Amino acid sequence: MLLWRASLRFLTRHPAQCGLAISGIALGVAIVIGMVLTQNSARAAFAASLRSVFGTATHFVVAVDGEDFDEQLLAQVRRAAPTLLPTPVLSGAVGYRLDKGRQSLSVLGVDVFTRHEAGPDNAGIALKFLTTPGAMLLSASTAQRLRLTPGARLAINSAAGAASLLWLGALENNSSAGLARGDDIAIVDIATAQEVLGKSGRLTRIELSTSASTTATAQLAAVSHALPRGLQVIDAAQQARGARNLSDAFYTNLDALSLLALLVGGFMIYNTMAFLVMQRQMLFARLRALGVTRAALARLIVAEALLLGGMGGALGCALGYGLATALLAPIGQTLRDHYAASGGTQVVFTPMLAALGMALAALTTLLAAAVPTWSALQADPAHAARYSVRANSASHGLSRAAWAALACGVLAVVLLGLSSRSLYAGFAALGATILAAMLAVPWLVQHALTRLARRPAAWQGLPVRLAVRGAARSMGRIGMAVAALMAATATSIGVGLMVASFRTAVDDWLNQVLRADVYISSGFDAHAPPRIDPAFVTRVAGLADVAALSQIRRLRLHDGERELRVTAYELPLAAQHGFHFLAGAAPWPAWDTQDLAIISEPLAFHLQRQVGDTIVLPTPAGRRSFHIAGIYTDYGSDSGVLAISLARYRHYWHDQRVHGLGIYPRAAAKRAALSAQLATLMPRDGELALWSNATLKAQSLAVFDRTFAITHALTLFAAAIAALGVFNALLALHLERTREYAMVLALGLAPAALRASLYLQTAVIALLACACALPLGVLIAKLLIAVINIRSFGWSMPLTLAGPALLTPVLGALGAALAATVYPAERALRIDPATALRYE
Amino acid sequence: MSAPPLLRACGLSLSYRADQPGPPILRELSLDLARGELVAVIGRSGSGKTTLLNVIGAMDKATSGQLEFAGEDMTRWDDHARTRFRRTHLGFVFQAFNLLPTLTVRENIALPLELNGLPHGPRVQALLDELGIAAVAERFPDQISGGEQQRTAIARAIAHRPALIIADEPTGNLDRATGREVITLFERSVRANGATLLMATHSDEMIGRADRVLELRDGALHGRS
Repeated sequence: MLLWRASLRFLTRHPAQCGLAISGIALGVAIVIGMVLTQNSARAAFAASLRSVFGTATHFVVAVDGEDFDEQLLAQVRRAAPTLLPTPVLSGAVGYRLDKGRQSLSVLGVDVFTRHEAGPDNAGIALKFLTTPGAMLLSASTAQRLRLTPGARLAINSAAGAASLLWLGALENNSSAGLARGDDIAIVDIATAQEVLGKSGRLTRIELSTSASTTATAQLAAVSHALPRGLQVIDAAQQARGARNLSDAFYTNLDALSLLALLVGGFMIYNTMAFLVMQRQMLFARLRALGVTRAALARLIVAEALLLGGMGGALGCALGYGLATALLAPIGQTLRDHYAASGGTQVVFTPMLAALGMALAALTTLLAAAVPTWSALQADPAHAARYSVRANSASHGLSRAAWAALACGVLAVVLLGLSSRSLYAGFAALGATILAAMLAVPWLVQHALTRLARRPAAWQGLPVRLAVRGAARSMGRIGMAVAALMAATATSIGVGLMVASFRTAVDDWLNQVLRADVYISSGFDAHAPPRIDPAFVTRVAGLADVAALSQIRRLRLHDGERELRVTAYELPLAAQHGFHFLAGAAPWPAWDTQDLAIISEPLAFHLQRQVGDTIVLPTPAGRRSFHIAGIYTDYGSDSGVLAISLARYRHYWHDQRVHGLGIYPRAAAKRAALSAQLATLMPRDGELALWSNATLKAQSLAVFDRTFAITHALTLFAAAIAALGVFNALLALHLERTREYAMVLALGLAPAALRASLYLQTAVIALLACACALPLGVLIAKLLIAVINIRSFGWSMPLTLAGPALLTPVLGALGAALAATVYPAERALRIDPATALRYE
Repeated sequence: MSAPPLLRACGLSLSYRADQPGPPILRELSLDLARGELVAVIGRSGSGKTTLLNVIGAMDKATSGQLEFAGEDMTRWDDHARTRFRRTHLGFVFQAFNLLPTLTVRENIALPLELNGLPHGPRVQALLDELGIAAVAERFPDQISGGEQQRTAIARAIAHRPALIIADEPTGNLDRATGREVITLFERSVRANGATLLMATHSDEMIGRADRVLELRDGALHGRS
């Protein structure tokens, strides 16, 4: 009982240290819980979207080119397989204005009489849904985002022109309904969808449910047999799985970043726990001399760790909730930008997550406390007999840690060699590299300081000697905090360099690819059907100032297993030069006459295809083999794109429409005049927009910056944890040395000289940490670029050593370390020497 | 027939570690401590007094030789047995007091009783009164004087009525007057509890009150009186 009391009193007598320990644990837990919560919300929203979009269908009838088809086909399918409950769906997107910006909303038209799970439970709303023209169902959170109140209309714009949709209100009893649970999807009656999307008599798919039939296989075969060329039956689960896989690498990267922050937090917790234990090594020696067993001491320290861990865990859960709420919007935006998925709008905190947070805090704290506890248990009771013991056993651990660092380095190399594709092995290698550096740094810094301390004293004043020798002597105590600072700085440098390199590569690529002066395309909907017909192309080409045109037709093909994004190009010479081939040769001479394909780098990585391989595409004319002639750089899609000639596309698909035009003016043409001429040709329905080269580029880079905003935020979080760790370590170090400072002040050292010495000590330590962080940062960047990026997305890029990315974290670390010295240094200087020396 | 000694050391030697060559600290040292005896060990600084006390107090291990406590061979004890010995049979008074800073004077004295599972209320109060520190019972060590701290340390050393008390320069940190006062109380308390006291000291006052004085010279003990 007295032991527990002594322990509790120690903790309450060191509130700042305990507060910092708890906040360190809390920040580490917060970042993991925050990320788990955000991802859970995003994944739940995504699952709800899939459920809304796909319903309970097991198979779909779709066109092989992803286009819509005639609704007359529904009758054929119903005749062929009535027990599969065929139900029609039409999907598309409409535009709306929000905060002066134009955004898109997915529209899903369903037949509420035939679609399983179709109707809302709320009888009143169900009736209104069927009887009110333009009625839509929306999740409450989406309605909130769109600032709609029940009964309000949302003004929309589509190929059919301006229209409006009426929100009927929140579905209070829709727990069992599949509809309107997904975010960012408006559910409407199929007739309404055909009207607002301008697709009268068209369908996107026919849903089939094999669970309702005992002769499913035969029925599916009958459907397949009855389908005309250009239509196929695909597996809905496979489709959903493919959609989920798209964003998996994105989530994995977020996981890894949050775990990295936890690793930094773990080192900080280790440092804190080590301090709490080492500060009392003398006390433990006294207790051992009085007959307290090692087991009793271990119980005491473990209980302390659990107490601090528990408090930090609870606080971390609360902070994590706040973090998730803050991150949901930017992550949702990224998911919408890149994966056409919703990020969710609500963070749901469950008891399981609270348990995870507490368990994580307890586990991290216990792991962090393990080494210091073991060290405390070795406390020699004979030390208690000596007048003063400044046990510095931790410094003996530095060389052991350096050996462990070597082992981690070897492990990193082995992990990199184990697999050239596994993302997890890549992250494990990255983690092992950072861990190796963290373990080696205290030893390296101590050696550097020891060498510095051995310099002739003539050029060193007393404050300098005190600073350098004090830093060398304290490395055993604050080594882990220095390691955490170094790791956070290096991570910031590494991530910063990777993002800067990526941005430079994307910028270069955009400059290379966007060669036309002006582009015409659908303004807001990447899934919109092609709206540019040959007559429009002819009119544009006929303008006096137009020298050449590029044409692009996008399509999504289902090859039975996955969706493949295909782009068909007709390219003038200038545009052909925009392609940078990583493998193979430019295929342009035979581009329009042979079945050639070029594939983007990510697609080559995902499909594991090389130049010379063939790829089979389902065309209305049957399956056709395309020869892969080259692999090119493309940062536009991480799932990858396959490009074929527009002439070959037209040959097989018999479709003349395109999605976009690139306009290359004559040399003497004036841009303003050309834009004015083009504006007169543009259709008035607003479905096509003119984009200048600069606008397109700026928009692309804005999406890029939005994507990496989260990465920056997480890196900053890790840096904040490390800064807190350094503050904690320096505070504890200076508090521990109060008596020493009092002694030198009593001996007559001027307070200003002591102050200078303390700041110098911090600066020397931080500079050495940063000196280690710079090469490690570059190595992290290299690993992120050459291993993680390629294994996640299939993108390669050169490393750019950007000055701001290198220097900003270093200056931040120096600033944080010096700021962390202010309070302990000023406190040490205010202490009365007589008081400090009175009682040890 | 004389009673067997409480503690017997025979041919006790202790050397530095192999990587730190030098003369042994203790060399073929022999010593018998009778029950209730007060023995002072004197010697120059660095002569090995503290090391000898640590070996006898089961906090350090001799390199060779025999060491018995109440007929038990201490050299065979494992860490657990040595810890139990210190908890149950030993009281230690340090030069630097070594009180637990986060426990009050009363709690510091109660600690060995609690570690041994003994009731501590009346016993602690009696010691507080006996050593004249009842007025500061609820204060923490850094709130009392050096003399009061050492009295607290003495009370803690005898609280659980150990058979053997070891004291290392118990008045080394005290002024002459306070030292004398503490010595008087210490001797009275030790004799009242029937304990054996082995103390390292430079104090003539302490030496004068000892039943026997031994000088530690060249790693061996030499009788003085």
